[in-house]
This record gives sequence, structure tokens and C-alpha cells, in this order.
Amino acid sequence: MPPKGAVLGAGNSSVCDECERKKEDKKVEKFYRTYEIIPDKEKCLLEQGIICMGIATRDGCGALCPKVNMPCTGCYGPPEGVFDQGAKMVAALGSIINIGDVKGLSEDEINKKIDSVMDSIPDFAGTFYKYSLPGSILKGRI
Amino acid sequence: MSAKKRITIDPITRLEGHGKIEIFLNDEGDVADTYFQVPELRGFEQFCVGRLAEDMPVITNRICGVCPEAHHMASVKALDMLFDVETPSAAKKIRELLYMAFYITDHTTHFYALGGPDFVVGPDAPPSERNILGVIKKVGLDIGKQVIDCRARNHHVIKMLGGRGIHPAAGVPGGWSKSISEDEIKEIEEIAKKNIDFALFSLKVFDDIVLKNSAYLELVTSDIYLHKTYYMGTVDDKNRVNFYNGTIRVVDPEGKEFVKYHPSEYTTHIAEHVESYSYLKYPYLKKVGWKGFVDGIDSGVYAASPLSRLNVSDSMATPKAQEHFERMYETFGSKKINGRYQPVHHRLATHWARLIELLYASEHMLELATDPEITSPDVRKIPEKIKGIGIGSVEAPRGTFTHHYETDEKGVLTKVNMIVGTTNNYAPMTMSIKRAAEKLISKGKVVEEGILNRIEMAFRLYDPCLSCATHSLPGKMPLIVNVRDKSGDIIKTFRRD
Repeated sequence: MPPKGAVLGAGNSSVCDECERKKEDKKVEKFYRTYEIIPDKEKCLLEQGIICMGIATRDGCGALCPKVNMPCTGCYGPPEGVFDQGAKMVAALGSIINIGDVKGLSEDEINKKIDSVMDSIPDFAGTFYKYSLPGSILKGRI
Repeated sequence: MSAKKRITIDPITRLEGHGKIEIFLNDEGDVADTYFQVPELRGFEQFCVGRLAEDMPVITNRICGVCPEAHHMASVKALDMLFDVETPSAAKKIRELLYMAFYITDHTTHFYALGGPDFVVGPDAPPSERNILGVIKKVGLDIGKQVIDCRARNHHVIKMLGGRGIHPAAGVPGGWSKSISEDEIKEIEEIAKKNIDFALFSLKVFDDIVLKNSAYLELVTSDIYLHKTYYMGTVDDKNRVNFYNGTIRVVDPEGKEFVKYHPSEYTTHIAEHVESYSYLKYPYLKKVGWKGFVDGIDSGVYAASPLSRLNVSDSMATPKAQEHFERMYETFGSKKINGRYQPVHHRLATHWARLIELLYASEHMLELATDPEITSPDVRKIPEKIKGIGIGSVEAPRGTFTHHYETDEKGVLTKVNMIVGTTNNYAPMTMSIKRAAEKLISKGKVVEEGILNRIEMAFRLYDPCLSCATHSLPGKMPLIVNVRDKSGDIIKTFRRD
């Protein structure tokens, strides 16, 4: 038997590493729900504003969902070295959303701008912790 | 909670493969009653509340590793209605194409791995031989290879079209997330042709091994596994069997159409009876009423299974399947009344019906694969509004299958109800088990040899999905049978883990 804690049938990196879609380091101004948009077949889904969990998900599946134009929903759990899958995803979103020029704005005004982008996601826990809530730092307490 | 405290959970829950049967005897030692309990609770209908409706095709397909495609399809059809969107014709055909590939894998599994061993190896063969390995031993190693090839090539189609080979991901309200390329469809066409040959071969196996064996034919046509109930199934506009779309038709035990309704009207026609001893509810025909676990035209009990689908239909939609459909009804001496055969009530015929459906699925798969529209890039329409209620239904291999969602204005779920294929057959299964028990126990004398298998044969023919665990080698399902005397004390327990 393999040692306790061994990872079988999965990799040590993230789904993005095995996804063939092109990343352009594009910022996102608005998020879409899957039924609202027909995505470009070649480009990164997250950069098109679709919440694709690939960046916060362990690889090994072969990026099957992005291959049929659907976002990764995170079913392989967090990648190696990441404890909390949802927190990792929120951190990733923090660096990808575009809220425009914030120079001279108060913290409240910046928060409002962030909220206006994030409001398009009505179910944070269900989206970011679809398969990993019991093992997250939230421990199911929501 | 102290670390030393021991917690025992019984019955264990959240697995699909736990059944418990209680048999109560009267003063004379004959069977007074039987209870078929399903002590498992999954809770999907509760924890999906608050989720986004469009996530349901990928959440609910995780309910099962055997019929996820049925969940995916019922779910995506419910979303079409919820988002009030007309799915492009090509997308409907792609969904149906995937669904045919799925049916072929599922029915193949049941015949060769689950139901078949009872016949191919024999109902009295020791359990160590009464499994898929025993079947392969009997029919030859090459056939075993063909069975595995059949499952492999059709799962390959499911993966090609749905993204994942087991739990498809491509269903969206208003369509399908992926179109089919010319190269892909050529490959699928070849696979469909192989499937037709395989289905015809499987029918020949049934013919040679079951129908040509007088002892088996007698068992199939005897009254041990006979129940005269209502039948339910989905039919197309010509009253032919359809797995993906159509109207729900119910016929009475005489074969007369009782009602035909759109899947969204199911609450008008179906009610659910609850017994305190089981988590699973018993659906029945509302307008007939619940009269207990009894046969007949006055009892609201109905069955929804491969045999039921054939019983409610006037014919099959493909030519080869139609030939075998006629042959089955003629074999049972069914008369044609007003142009349609009277129902076959011998429940073991469900195995035969399943193979006829396997042939239909294969023929229809080829029709879809050669349809010029199947490679159209027009596979999605973006919905423009959220209606707030969506009901979708398909025929799962095990029976009519309905998903019902309600949402707020953002498309966040507020209510989820699912009536899965197996649930429809809970009352008929209970009745079939009781009849088998009555035949095996009299005057306190319990026929030990074969009791488990005879009882199992009674519900196995419905291919219940609580036995999902059996869809892998070596084909076992945890089952406990308790025989109790009148005071409720257990006098005998049979167990197989």
C-alpha cells in the first residue's frame, strides 16, 4: 500500500498548468455566470470573467471541464501546499479584478468598487468551497 | 467529545447500496408482512437550496456514479424551463446522442454484471459463481472482452461530448457548451454501428440461454414474479418509447391509457406515500389513490422500468428494436387491442425489455450520428430571463426521472425536488419481495437455500440504484434479511455484506 497521505491519480500543481487555454494577463471588470456568456474557445476562462477554479485546484484531471468550455469547479480540492481552496481563489481574484483608477479614493469608495464587481457572484461559499468546505478554515460553519 | 468515547452509527448512511428487509410471520408461521427498508439519507434536496441553479447539472450528477448522465439531463432540461429558453435543435440532438451512449453502458452493465448472472449462470448457482466472472466463464472470455469494450467505447463518447467520462459537465440552460467536429462524429458513427451488433448479440445470448431453456422460460412466464399494476413511461408524439423527451403516459393493468401528461404536471398526477420505517417515499397515482401494497386497477401503485416503458408504448421508433418488441409480446401471448399489445406483467421480462431498449438506443445513436445537423456550431442560446420554476424529466434506465427547481430572481435555489427512477418502483419492489418471501416461507419453515437470491431476483429485475455499489466487481450488495415471529423477535437473519 502507498504511505498514508500519498496523492494518487493527481498532480502537485494546479489545473491551470494542464489547461491549454491562452492566458493574456487580462484584468476582469465583470464576472459572468456560466449561462450568461458563450466563451471564446481558445482564451483563459477566468480572464473572460467566468469563475474558473483552475488556479486554486489540484491538477491531474487533464483540465476536462475547460476543454468543453466549462469552468473548473474545484473537484480535485486545493493544490499542493494550499490549505484553504476558497481563500486561495479569493486571493487570485484580488489580483485579477479591475476596479479602475483608485488614486485619491477613500477606503470606503474602493470597497464599493470591489463590491460592484464581486456582487455578480451570489453564492461565495457554494462557488469557492463547492467540494472543500468541511476541510476549510471555515469548517462548515456557515 | 472525549477521544475515548466510541460512536457507532447504524444504519450507515450516504452510500448507495444499503438495503434491509424485515419479514414478519403470523401465528401459523406464514408470512404476515415484509418490509423493504432503505436506511440511507442523502440530503441533496436540502443542501442544494441556496446554490446557483445553473450549477445543478454538475452537483446532482454526483448523486450517482452509475446514472450521472440521467441527473445531468433531467437537470439541464429543468434549467431550460427555469431560464425560459428554447434550446437549439443541434444541442438537443447532442444531448440525446450522449444519452444513448449512456443507456448502452448502463443497460449492458445490468444485463451482464447484475441481472444476467441469475440466468446465465443460474439462480441456484453458488454466489461465488453467480457474478460477472461466472457469466464470462459460461459465455466465453471473448464475450467478457466485448462487454468491457462496449462500456469503454461509449464512455469515450460521453467524455468527448460531455467533458468528463463519468460526470458530464457540458449541460447549460439553453444548450450544450460544446459542438461536435466532423472527425468526432465519424468516430461516433463507427461506435454506434458496433453497438448495434453488440445489442443484437446480447439478444441472441438471452435467446439461447434463457428462452431456449425450458426451466428458465417457465420461471420467466410463471406467476412467481407477476404483478398487475399500472405502468409509466415517456413516449414521443407517436406513442413510441423515448428516453430523452416527450410526454408521460400511464396505462392501466389492462393496457388502456389512463393518463398522458406533460412532465411539468407531475404533482397533479403523482403523490408520495410515507412509511415510518424507511427514508424512501412511495410514489403512487394520485387519482387512483394509495390502497397499500396491492395489485390491480384500484391500487395507485405503478411501475416505471424498461418493461413499463414498452408496456405504455405502441411501438419502438427503430426497425430492429420493433422486431424484437413484437417477438417479446408474442412470446408472452399478449393480444393486440386497438392496435397495441396488452401489457406483459411477468416482471422477469424486464430483463428482455432492457435488451430491446439496448438495441433501440444503439439504432437511435446511429440515426443521430448520421444526422447532418449534429455538427452544427449553433448549440447555445443565451437565456434572457429567470422564470423561477423549472421542471425537467427524462427516462433514466430505471424509470421516469424528474428534477424540479424553484429559485429567487437571481436564480438561487429555494426549493429542490427529485423523483428518481428507482423511487417509482419502491412499492412494486416491496410487493415483489413479499411474494417471493411467501413462496419461500411456510408454516415457520424457512427455505434457507437460495432465499437471498430468490428475494434479490425479485428486486434486482428493477435494477434499483440503491445497489449502485453492485455496479462493480464482484457484484455484491449489502443486504440483511430478518425473519421475525409474531412477537417481533428475530428467529432468523440472513446477511450478506
